[in-house]
Amino acid sequence: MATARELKNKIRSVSNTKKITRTMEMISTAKSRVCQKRIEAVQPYGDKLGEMLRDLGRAASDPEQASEYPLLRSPEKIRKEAMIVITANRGLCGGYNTNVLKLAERRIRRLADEGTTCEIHMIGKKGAARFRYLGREVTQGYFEIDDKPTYAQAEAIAQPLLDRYAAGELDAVSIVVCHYESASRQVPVERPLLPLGGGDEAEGESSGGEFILEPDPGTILSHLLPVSLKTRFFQSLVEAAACEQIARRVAMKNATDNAEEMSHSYKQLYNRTRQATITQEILEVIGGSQGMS
Amino acid sequence: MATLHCQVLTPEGRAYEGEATFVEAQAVDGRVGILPRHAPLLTALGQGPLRVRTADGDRSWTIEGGFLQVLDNQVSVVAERLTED
Repeated sequence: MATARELKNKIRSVSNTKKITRTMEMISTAKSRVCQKRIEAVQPYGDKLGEMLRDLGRAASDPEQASEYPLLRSPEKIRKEAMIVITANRGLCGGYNTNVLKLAERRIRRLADEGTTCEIHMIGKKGAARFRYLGREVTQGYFEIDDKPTYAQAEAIAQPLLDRYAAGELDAVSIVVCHYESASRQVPVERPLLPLGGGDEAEGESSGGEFILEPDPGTILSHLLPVSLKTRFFQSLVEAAACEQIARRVAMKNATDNAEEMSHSYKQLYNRTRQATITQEILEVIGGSQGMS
Repeated sequence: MATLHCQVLTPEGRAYEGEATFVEAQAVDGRVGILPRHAPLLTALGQGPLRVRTADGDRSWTIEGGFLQVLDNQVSVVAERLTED
C-alpha cells in the first residue's frame, strides 16, 4: 500500500495537470468560437462566387470554349493527383489528426490501385510527422498556418497547384480535410477540387438574371475560376482550424473530467491511509500502556 | 432619391453593406459606374479604387482582383483583396 506521502504527491501532480487541461479547454473554447465566426464570415463571399459561376456557366457552357480554359480541361485518365491534406501543427486534440490522416491513407491506396500517382501536400506538422514515420513521401509540407489562416496563405499554396493543373502537369487536385458540419459534428471528408465536376456547378440556385457580361464571358470566367477554387481551398482551411479547436476542447474537457475523478479517488485513498496510520498508532499506545501496568 | 443596395464581400467577411446612390469600380477594361436601376451586369474587376457614395458621405477602398454583379438594384462587389483607404 502506498504511503500517505506518495499519495499526497500524486494528488498534487494530478491537480496540476487538471489546471493545465482546464486552461487549454478554455482557450480552445474561445478560439473555436472565433473560428466558427470566420466560417460564417467567408460564407457569403463563397456563396456569391458560386452564384456568379453558375450564372456564367449558362452563358459560357458550350464545350468549344472549354478547351480555351486550361482550368476547365477534363483529363481522360487521371495519372497524377495532388492531394492536399490538412492537419494541425499541434497535438492534444483527440482523434482529429488521426481521422484525417486515416482517410488520406485510404484515398492514397485507392488511387494507387487505380494507377494514379499521388503527390502529397501536407499542411500541419502532425501529418508530416506521421507520414514520415510511415515512410510515405511528402512532396511539400506547410507549417506556418495557425488557427487563423489567411486568404493570402491559401493563395500561396493553391496557386502553384492551379498553374500546374492548367499546364497539364497534374490531372487532379483534391483536399482531405475535416468538414465542419455543425458545432457538435465534424467529419473528415475528401473534396475533389479539380477537374471540375459537372454536377458541382449545377447544384444550388443561380440568380436567374440575364446579365450584361463585361468585357465578355470568357474573360470573366478566366478570372472567376481560379478565385473560386482558391476560395474553396481557403474555406477548407478555415473549417479545419475550427474543427481542430473543437476537437481540442472536447479532448481537454475529457482530460479535465478524468483528472477530477482521479484526484477524487486518490484523496479517498489518502484519507483511508491516514486514518489507518492513526488507528495503528493509538493501538500501539494502548498496547504499550497495558504492557506497563 | 433612388438608391441601390450595395454589399462588399471579402474572404475575411463583409466589409460593407447598405444603401448607396452611386458605386464606382475599376473593371479589367476600364472604370464602371453604377447608378440605381442599372441593368443586370457581371464584370471582372482589376486593380484600383472602389467608391461607394452613400447618404452620409463616400466610402472608398482599394481592390485587387474581384467581381461586381448588379441584379435587381443590388450591387455585390466580391473582392479578393481589399484595403480601406
